[in-house]
Amino acid sequence: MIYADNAATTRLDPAALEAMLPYLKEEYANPSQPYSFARKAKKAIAGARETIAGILGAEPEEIFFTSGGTESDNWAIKGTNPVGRNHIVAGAMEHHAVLHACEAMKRQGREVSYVPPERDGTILPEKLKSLLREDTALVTVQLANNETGAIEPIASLAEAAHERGAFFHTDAVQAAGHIPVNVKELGVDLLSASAHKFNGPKGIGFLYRKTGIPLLPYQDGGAQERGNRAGTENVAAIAGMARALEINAGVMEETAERLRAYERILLGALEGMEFRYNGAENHVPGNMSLSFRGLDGEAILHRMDLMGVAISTGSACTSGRTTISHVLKAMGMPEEWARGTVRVSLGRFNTEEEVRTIAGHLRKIAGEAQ
Amino acid sequence: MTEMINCEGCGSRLGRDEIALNRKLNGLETEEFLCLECMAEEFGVTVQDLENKIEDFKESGCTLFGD
Repeated sequence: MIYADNAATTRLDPAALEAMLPYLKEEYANPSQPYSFARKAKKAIAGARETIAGILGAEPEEIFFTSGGTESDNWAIKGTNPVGRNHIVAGAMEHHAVLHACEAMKRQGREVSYVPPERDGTILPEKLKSLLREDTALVTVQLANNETGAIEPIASLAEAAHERGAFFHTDAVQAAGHIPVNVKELGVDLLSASAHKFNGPKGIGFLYRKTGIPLLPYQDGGAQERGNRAGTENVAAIAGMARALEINAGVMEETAERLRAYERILLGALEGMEFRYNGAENHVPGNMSLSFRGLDGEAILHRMDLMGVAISTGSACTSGRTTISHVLKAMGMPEEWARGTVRVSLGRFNTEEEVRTIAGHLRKIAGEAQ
Repeated sequence: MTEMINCEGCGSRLGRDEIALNRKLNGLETEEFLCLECMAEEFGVTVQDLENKIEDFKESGCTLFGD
């Protein structure tokens, strides 16, 4: 099997697994306990917080462990509640963890505006500025899109939000561990990330909260995460996440260079076919959204699956009806192209041989259909 | 009611699941239909691979299937 759906999840790095094992076996103490047996678990959490903070240019006390990107997004959106500010602005191409959290806030009386992207999926600061109001509490725009990999101009967008006194959150789930992410350079107040997207374990993530930004606690209970996120810490997953991020950050440049070369191989193999490459010039390396006019993306996905290749699609057939993703719709893609969209997302463990095989299969399947 | 469609390869009458699988693997608007045996040969896979796919679609709740 060739795995080319790394935007959905990634293979756990063996070194991350190694970092987890002691806390699943011998060092199983509850880190909240005061006895000496809990010392190593406690130190593992503190060490992981420092590692992650160091990579992001943050302070350790600004990192809060969560169950993943969805929880982090929900916390950022639902926990930001400045008095007298009732308005939220979200990117129209956000992940459902953001969009549905915004919908939940609407049901509670908040007003939500959605800022549309350009055709390449990027959001212009001018368009965001036109939606900002005196009562805008929060702006939330993803750092990189999960379907196209397009990287948003977060620093400019955050600056625009701050000019109007609003907080700025970015969903960095597709970006962390793949492109340089520095919270100070981005100028964000809140940032979400998820370990399983950067070769860490599933069920663990974090929320960065800039010091001084008011945020309501996510859930009540014990005093974990300094009283902000109750619940016994998943020590093994926290240790694995920090190790995975550390490794990915260490090989980021060479991985990106290799994945860009793979992109060229794939696109080169499709030359002469009627297809579109979707997404911005500035995108997460290896994340490629491709549209084949008049074809059925889900059919391509399943044919690729039968050939032993796992990819994703931008349209899905539900009992005979094709649903186009909200991302492709927001980008204004004509339906005849959007229906034939697939996502090939390459990762650190893919090889050139695998990419050539993917390219060959894709060319055969799409070529036959066209 | 099951549509009356025959395999373009061997001429056999297709069941509902076979018709649905053709649509899933060739696109909803496909006009070319094959039975599982002919489809397996065409795609270079086993009949079991195709039957596994049918089960996956049924488990996901796709109402195109349902022999």
